[in-house]
This record gives sequence, structure tokens and C-alpha cells, in this order.
Amino acid sequence: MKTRVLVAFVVLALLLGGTMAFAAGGREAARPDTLRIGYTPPTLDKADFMGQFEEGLIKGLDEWTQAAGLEYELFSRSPADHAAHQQQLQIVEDFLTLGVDYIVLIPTSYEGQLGAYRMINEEGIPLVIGNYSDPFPRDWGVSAMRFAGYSHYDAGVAMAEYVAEKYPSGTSMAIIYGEAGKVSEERGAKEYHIANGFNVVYEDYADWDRVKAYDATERLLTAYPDVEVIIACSSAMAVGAVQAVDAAGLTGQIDVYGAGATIEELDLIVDGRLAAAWFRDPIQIGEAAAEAIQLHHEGREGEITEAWNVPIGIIDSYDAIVEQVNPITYTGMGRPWPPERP
Amino acid sequence: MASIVQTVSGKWKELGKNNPDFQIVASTFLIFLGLFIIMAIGSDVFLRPRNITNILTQSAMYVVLGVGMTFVLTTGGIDISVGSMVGIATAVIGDIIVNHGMPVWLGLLGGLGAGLACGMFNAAFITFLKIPPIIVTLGTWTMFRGLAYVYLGGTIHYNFPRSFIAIARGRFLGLPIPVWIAAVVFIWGHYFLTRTKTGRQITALGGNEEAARLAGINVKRLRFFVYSLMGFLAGLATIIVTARLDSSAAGTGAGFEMHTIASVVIGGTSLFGGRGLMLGTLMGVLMLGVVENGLLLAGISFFWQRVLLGFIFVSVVGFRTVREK
Repeated sequence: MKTRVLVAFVVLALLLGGTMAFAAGGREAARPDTLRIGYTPPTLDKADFMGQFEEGLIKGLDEWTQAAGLEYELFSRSPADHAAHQQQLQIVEDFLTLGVDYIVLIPTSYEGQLGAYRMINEEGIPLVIGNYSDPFPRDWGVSAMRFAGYSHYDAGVAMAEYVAEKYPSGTSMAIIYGEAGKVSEERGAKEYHIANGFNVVYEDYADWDRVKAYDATERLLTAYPDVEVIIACSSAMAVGAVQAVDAAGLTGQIDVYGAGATIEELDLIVDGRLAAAWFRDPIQIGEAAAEAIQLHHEGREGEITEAWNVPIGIIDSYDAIVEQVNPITYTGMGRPWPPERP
Repeated sequence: MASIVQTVSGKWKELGKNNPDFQIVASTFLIFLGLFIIMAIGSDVFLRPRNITNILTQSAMYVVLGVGMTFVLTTGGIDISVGSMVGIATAVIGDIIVNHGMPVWLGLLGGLGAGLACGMFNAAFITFLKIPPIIVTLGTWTMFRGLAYVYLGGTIHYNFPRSFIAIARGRFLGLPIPVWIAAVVFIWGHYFLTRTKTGRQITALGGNEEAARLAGINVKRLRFFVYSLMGFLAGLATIIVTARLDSSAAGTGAGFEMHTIASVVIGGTSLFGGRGLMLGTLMGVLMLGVVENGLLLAGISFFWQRVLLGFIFVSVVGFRTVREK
């Protein structure tokens, strides 16, 4: 029995050791002047905004470092999910242990990672915040050199104005939020919808999760069969809502509106199953994060715009995709550009 | 020299033969040591004092939760609502300290009280209505989380006073305060489970409830105690995590239950009751902490990290099960 346990332990050790050696061997030995950049978003899913942001970040860093003859190493780590605040804090701590030169942080929650911002600031590591363009309030006592993102508020309002033109006053609407908080509120823009004459009959929180949004949509379809418009506050939740509407055989009768225009949402728009989604270019935002690092490294801190905002558009057709979407959104996923016309 | 080695080896074998718990803890320790060495080889920054402090600080909260969970599992029960208890407790702490601007000590009491209340709620259903713990805590897992969202009403409390943040970031004798909190809780838990009459009764209850009852043990009282204690310790862990994050959101604590249960089971505490090993729990928590940290520092991709963590869990528990058979 002892032998068996010993053998099993050795196998475990070899497996771990081998994997680590493989990982270490896969990376070329870093030059001493290699820039070390830590990147932690809530998810590394390539189909998600965060994955595309990373594409833009890498593109920007590649272009700059190749031209400047520099090398960089990007440590990309994400927590288990969007609500794993504690895990993201641990990742930041580990980045600091690794001695990274820059940290690009897309927080699991803007307010929820205050502890992480403090820690990074105290270490004097230049910080870039992604996905948000609002600088931290002064009374927080923390700062970042750039907020590369967009206004969630503007996105919510843009969608509210868009749908207001399409439906008569009194139309029943449901809003599916992500996790409770500022971003959900701003993207949901409930007050705007009400002011525009909509009757918001159902609201639910689906934690930015597709399955939870599917369940929420099923519930709302049962409780409020007269709903005509569903506003989903994230891409994944929009896809979940569309699938639930499809499953209920109500495609064409209920319009689902998404948020972010990821490739899945774009496919659904082309198919006519998602009415529209607001859009901001994640590739451009990632490049803006890389630009801040470049400017800082070159000692041009004065040129770094603190709040970097990308404009919001609405994608509701194939033509709008070709006109507004960054081709990397497709080519980065191994898809042809422009996409096939339906 | 050879005779000393023989003597030590002989005593070790004798100790193991007479004490299966010792064997389990020793084997867990050896696996932990093996993983620690592998991680140290895999990353040149792993052994830096700062990184070791990181691992200890990150593990502190799970040690506190693990002590509570060890008691619960030893009785043959389970509590999968601990993560949601953290959600409620953090909401209460944030509301008291940030929203109402009340003194920090009141927020701490509120957090501990909220955890204790959640634990007592579970305990009442499990003890008096005799509903299986997995059913009760599955229900309260959702219910407590929902209550946390209702309580916070879509807001997040943040920017706590310095005196509160100091709980996570302050140091005593060079070590972060959460490590000291975890150490005190662990020592108390170990002593209570192994050296007190009530502790031994808890083990007896998990081993054979009927026999324990016939032996005059107040089974209801014990069960109520362990689930209430779990809640109280969840409140204590919440203080650590809230101070670390400097924010309180209703979603905080999601997934803590699985991490905690996994740590305790890796440490050798039986899922079926009758065997609780606090030392094993400490090893289990540290093992997961070391592996998570080491894999990240070694540059293993995030996706592989999840695979390896799951594999280690299944392997360690699998070896032990095979060994026991």
C-alpha cells in the first residue's frame, strides 16, 4: 500500500513539475530590461470584451516595443468569475510579488477593488484601469495614470434613446442587470426608459451570467407575457435572453437588446435574433491602455490623458457591423472579415 | 547516527500504527511539503518572504472558515451556505461603518452577529426540524445571498476608515493581523476538538449518532453549537475579507464554500463524520494556497491552473480513500 501511495505521489509531482517546466520552457528567457506587465480582467474569454481588450493591449504593446527594440512579458490572470473580488485582489498581490512594472486592471467591480488600488498605489506601480473612463473620486485617495474605457452611463442612455424611437409610449419592458452596483444601474438606464414612456414591468439581476439571464428571461416570460422589449446589460446576458426567447418560440415577437456587441451578439444581429446592441471598440480601448504604458515608459507622463473615452455606437444591422466594428473582433477569432452577408 | 535514525523511524512507525489520525496528518503534510518544494523550484520568487506572507494572508480567511467547517463535517453534517453568510455579514459591516458612519467596533460586532444569526438559523432548521444539513444549507445558500442583495439594494459600500482597513493591513511582530487571527482560531479549534469533553463528543456524534445519544450526549445541543459556530466564524472571516477589499458587495464570498470544504476534506476530515483533523485542515488550506500561488507565479495558464487544482483535490482524496480501504 505504501508503494502505491508513493507512486501516486511521484506521478502527481511529475505531472505538476512537468507542466511547470513546460510552461517555463515555453517562454524565452527574459532580458533583464524586459518590461513586465500584469493584466487582470474578470475573465480571459476571447469572445468577451475583456478578451478583445487583451487583443488590443497586445497589439499596441507589440507595435510599440518592436519599433523601440524593447521586450515585454505580459502576465494575464483572471479570477474564476466576475464576482470573485477576493481572487482578483490575490492576483494583484501576486503581481506585486512578481515585481511587475505596470498593472492593467479591469476590476471585477469599480468600487469593490478599492483595496487593490490602494495596494498598487502604495507600491508605486503605474496603474491603468480598463473598461471605465471615470477617474476615481478624490476622497478615495487613490489614482491611476489612465482610465481606458467608455462611459457606461452614455451607453445606457444611447440605448434608451435608440429604443425610445422604435416603440410607442406604454410598451412593456424588462431589464436584466448584471451584479448590483453602479455599472448595472448606468447600463440599465431605468429612469431614462421610464421617462421615455416605457412601462418597466420586470427587473432582475443575473450577475453578468448567460445561464442566469436565460433563467431570468424564462421567469419574466411566464410572469409578464405582454413584455415586448428586453434590455440585457451585458453581452453574455443578452445571448442568454435571446436563447430563452427562442426556446419559448417568441423570436420576432419580443425584441432583445444587448450590450457591448461581442462577436456572438453580432452573429445574432446578423441572424435577426438580437434587435441591436450598443458598441464600443474594445480593441481601441486595449490600445489606449498600451499607449499609456508607452508614454509613461518614455517619460512622457504629461501626455497621458487620464480619462480616455471611446465613443458609443449602436449596431443593429450587417451594414452597421461593417461600418463600425473593428475587423480584429472577427479576425482575432479566426473569422473572415468582412463577415458573410446574410 | 544510524541508530538514531532507526529509533526515530521506529517511533514514527509505532505512532502511525497506533494513531491513524497521525498517519493522515503526516501524509497530508508530506504532500504539502512536496508541492511546496515543487512550487519553489518552479518560480524564483516563490520563497521570497513577501510571497510567503502573501500566501499566509490569503489563506487566513480560509483557515477561519476551515476550522468551523471541520467541526461541522466531524458531526457528519455540511454547510454550503458559508459563502452567502459572508455576503450578508459584509453587507451589515458596510452598512454600519460606511453608510451610517458608526464606530468600527460596532461594525465588527454587526458582522459577527450577522454571521452568528445565519448560523443559528441553519442550526435551528437542522436541529429542531431534523432537515438534512445539505438541504437546509442549500436553501440558505441562495436565501442568504438574496438577502445580502436586498439589504444592500444594489449598492456597494467602500472607502472604510483606516482603523478598519488596519485589520487586514496592519502587522504585529512582522506578520499581518489576519495571520494572527487565523492562528488564534486554529489553536483554539484544535484544542477544543481534541482536548475538551465537548470536542470529543462532537467526534463521537459524527461517528455514531445513536451510540452518542445512548451514551448521554446531548446531540441537539452539540449540533446547534457547531452550526452556530460556523456562522460566527464566517462573520469573523468576513471582517478579514472586507478589510482586505476595502469594500462590501453583496456578491462577496461567492465560491468560498467549495474552497473551504475542499481544504477540509484534503486535510483528512471525513465527509461522513466521526473524524475531524484541525491540523489536516490547516495543511489543506495551505496546500491550496501554495498551489494557487505557485502556479500563478510559475506562469501556468489560468485554464491549466483550474485543471491542476481540481486534479490535486481528486488525487489527494483518492489516495487517502484507497489507502483506508
